Amino acid sequence: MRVRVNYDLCSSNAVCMGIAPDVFEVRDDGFLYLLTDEPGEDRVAAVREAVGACPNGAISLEA
Amino acid sequence: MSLSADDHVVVVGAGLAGWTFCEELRRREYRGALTLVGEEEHEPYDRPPLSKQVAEGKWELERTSLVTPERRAATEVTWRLAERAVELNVSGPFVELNSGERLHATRVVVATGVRARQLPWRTPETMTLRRRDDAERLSRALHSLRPSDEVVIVGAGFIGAELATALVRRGLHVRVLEAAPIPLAAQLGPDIARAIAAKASTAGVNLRTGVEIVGISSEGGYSDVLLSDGSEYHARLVVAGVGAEPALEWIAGSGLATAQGILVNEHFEARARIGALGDVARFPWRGEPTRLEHWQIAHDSARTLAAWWVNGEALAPLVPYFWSDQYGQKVQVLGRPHPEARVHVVRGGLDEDRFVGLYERGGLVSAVVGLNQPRALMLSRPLLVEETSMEEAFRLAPWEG
Repeated sequence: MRVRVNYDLCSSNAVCMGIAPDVFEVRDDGFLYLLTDEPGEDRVAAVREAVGACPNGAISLEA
Repeated sequence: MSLSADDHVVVVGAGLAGWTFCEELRRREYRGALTLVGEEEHEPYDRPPLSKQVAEGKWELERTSLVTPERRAATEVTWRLAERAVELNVSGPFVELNSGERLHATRVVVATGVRARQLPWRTPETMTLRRRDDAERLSRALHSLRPSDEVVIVGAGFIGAELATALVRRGLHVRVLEAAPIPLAAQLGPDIARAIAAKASTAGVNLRTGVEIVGISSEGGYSDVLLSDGSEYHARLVVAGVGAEPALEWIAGSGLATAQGILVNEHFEARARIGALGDVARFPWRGEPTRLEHWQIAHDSARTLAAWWVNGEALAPLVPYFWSDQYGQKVQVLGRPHPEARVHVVRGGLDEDRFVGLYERGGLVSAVVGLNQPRALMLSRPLLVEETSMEEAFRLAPWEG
């Protein structure tokens, strides 16, 4: 499972980071960083929640 | 009590909440019948961009659609768009449409949202911004403006402030008229609200507060907005952002609705077999019935009810969240800010370009507000997931991480 972020859509609301801080990190520079783009199976549920919760629809999951 | 293939779920309201609920039911492999009723002719779309990217002219309206070909294929529903529900019978249960047709269901979800409050004066130049059709009308009106024309926005709440910011970015002259001495003070308390309103002028927005409109009249394609102090504004366009109210007249006979919305349990059920989502739901947040018109509540309430109905799974209680892009600033709030709560600024300062503040209520952290501090704000989310005392919050200081 791969996580992708469309940075044209991301506006650094950091909602994803509130849900899965081990995968998504908004740093003090205001930008989102992916800490891993292939999270483990045990994190799929949290990442999927972050995908849906992003108000900009900027995150997607690929098998 | 879990849904089975013999069920028929009727969802009334095709906004973010209703559509997300349908998507979640199918994602959780609900195989029964599913009907989505929407009053507007449009497929579900996202509202936040209407007062931001769309108003600024950066996005076409089509881009707000929530229904991509992939999402449509994954979510089989019987679409009943451009049809209005006029009655909910909870014992049937059934939903009656304006055509007289009855949709018999085994479960019904009410997600009809809110409608924009109107000004008492209606002229050809006055409008509100809530729906896609409103945004289209606004867009057409903006294209007909001359460079010297002024736009008057009534109300400096979230919609008013965002719209003003977007229109100034288009190079338009914008005047915002607000009745309260401090805009948003009723939502965020005076200190935080004052700090945010102070950014209006730096964003080029002419904001006048504490004013009373006594009349709006129209002549020759312009509206004259008259204030109680005698001042008058000559506007080619007047947009009212004066709040919204639940659109619940259609369920008046069901016994479920009050002026405050529909009371639901932690799963967003109003009764067995009847759910209510998003803007209309009064859900328990820290023991208090709470109704919030936030994007995230619409989304999370849909997930919560779908998990409960399909799998009997109780999701973790949601933490209220909203954001607003106004006056060039990113305002974010977690939890429920009470206007009378004491606010502790823990990062930055209220006269600076960034800050984080904790709202204290009953000795607990009841909300966290951030201005241009998304990282510190979201790091503070655990303070609201579990009840956290102020003392503990200061000891943990997650915003420093």
